[in-house]
Amino acid sequence: MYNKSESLERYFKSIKDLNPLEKNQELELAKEAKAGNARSFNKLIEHNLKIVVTIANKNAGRGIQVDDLIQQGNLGLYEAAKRFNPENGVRFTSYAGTWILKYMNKLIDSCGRIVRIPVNQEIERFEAIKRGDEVANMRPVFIDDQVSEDNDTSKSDIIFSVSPEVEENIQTDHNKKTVTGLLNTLKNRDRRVMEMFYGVNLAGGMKAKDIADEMGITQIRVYQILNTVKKDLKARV
Amino acid sequence: MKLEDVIIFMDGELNHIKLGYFFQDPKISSITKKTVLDAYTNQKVFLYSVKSNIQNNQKDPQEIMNLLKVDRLALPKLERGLTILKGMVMDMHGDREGSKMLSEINTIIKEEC
Repeated sequence: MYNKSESLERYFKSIKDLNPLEKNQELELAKEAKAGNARSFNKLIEHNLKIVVTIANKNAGRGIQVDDLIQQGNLGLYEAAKRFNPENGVRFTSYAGTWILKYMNKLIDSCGRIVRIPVNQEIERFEAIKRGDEVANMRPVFIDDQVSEDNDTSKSDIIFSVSPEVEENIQTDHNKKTVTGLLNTLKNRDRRVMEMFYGVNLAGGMKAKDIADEMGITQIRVYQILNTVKKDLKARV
Repeated sequence: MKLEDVIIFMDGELNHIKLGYFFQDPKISSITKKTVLDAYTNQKVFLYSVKSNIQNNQKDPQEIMNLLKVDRLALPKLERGLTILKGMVMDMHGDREGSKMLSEINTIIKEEC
């Protein structure tokens, strides 16, 4: 269905033994996590990482790579663990599923197409495809596609072939200074995580798993840092 | 109280929804950001009317439940359903905006009912 990258294979191996929890275990962990027990919080997340993979596989073919969907889904899982109320009696897996899908849909909506269509329409179209209905223009657009059969130019050549002046306008010094200025206000560790994740001053962004390996912290800790810093920066901008 | 399912009043009928797969139930998964407030309001008004029926008619709660063709746990199940819908409003609209909306709805229901 998809090309497994090396890091994806490593990731699958690392979660292989993390089996879903029984209802009672889940409830106990959720209560402890709600009371502030970080270990239980992490355990609740870790034992549900496989659900993210399942949902990511179901949503493959919507224009986003599976490993990116998993990464985004893990953020949704983290949010679900933060917001879950064990008193309601709903299974955590059921609640987390909605958050995981919500985060994946957000990514698909923002990056899955060159021309953005609203999330609800995107979902409707996906459901229609699953039912086997005919839907117009459903094939995702890849930027390496050729513009036409008799033309070697790819869509990316057109998109990125902007003149230096235009490029200068797009990436103004002002924006760069703002971002750098904001990042410089962060703690050293937090700044490094942000830079690596978003690829600031790097050739490209790194996966949370690779950042965790590089920094010697857990993947969940990486997500926690990203979430906290993003909220903090958002409040300041 | 341990409940296996809750009752959601939707589309003019009482829907028994298992808590184990609550959010995957087609009725619940069809709720969107636009419709979640309606779902909450309908449930709240329905619960309010059942409760006031019990109080005003001085009827045995079980008699009302029989009339509604629901079990003796119907009230707690409706209440739990309302709590979950409240959580969904907060999840979909954000804590601050969601609280504001819920407070407005609750005020309207109090005044109107």
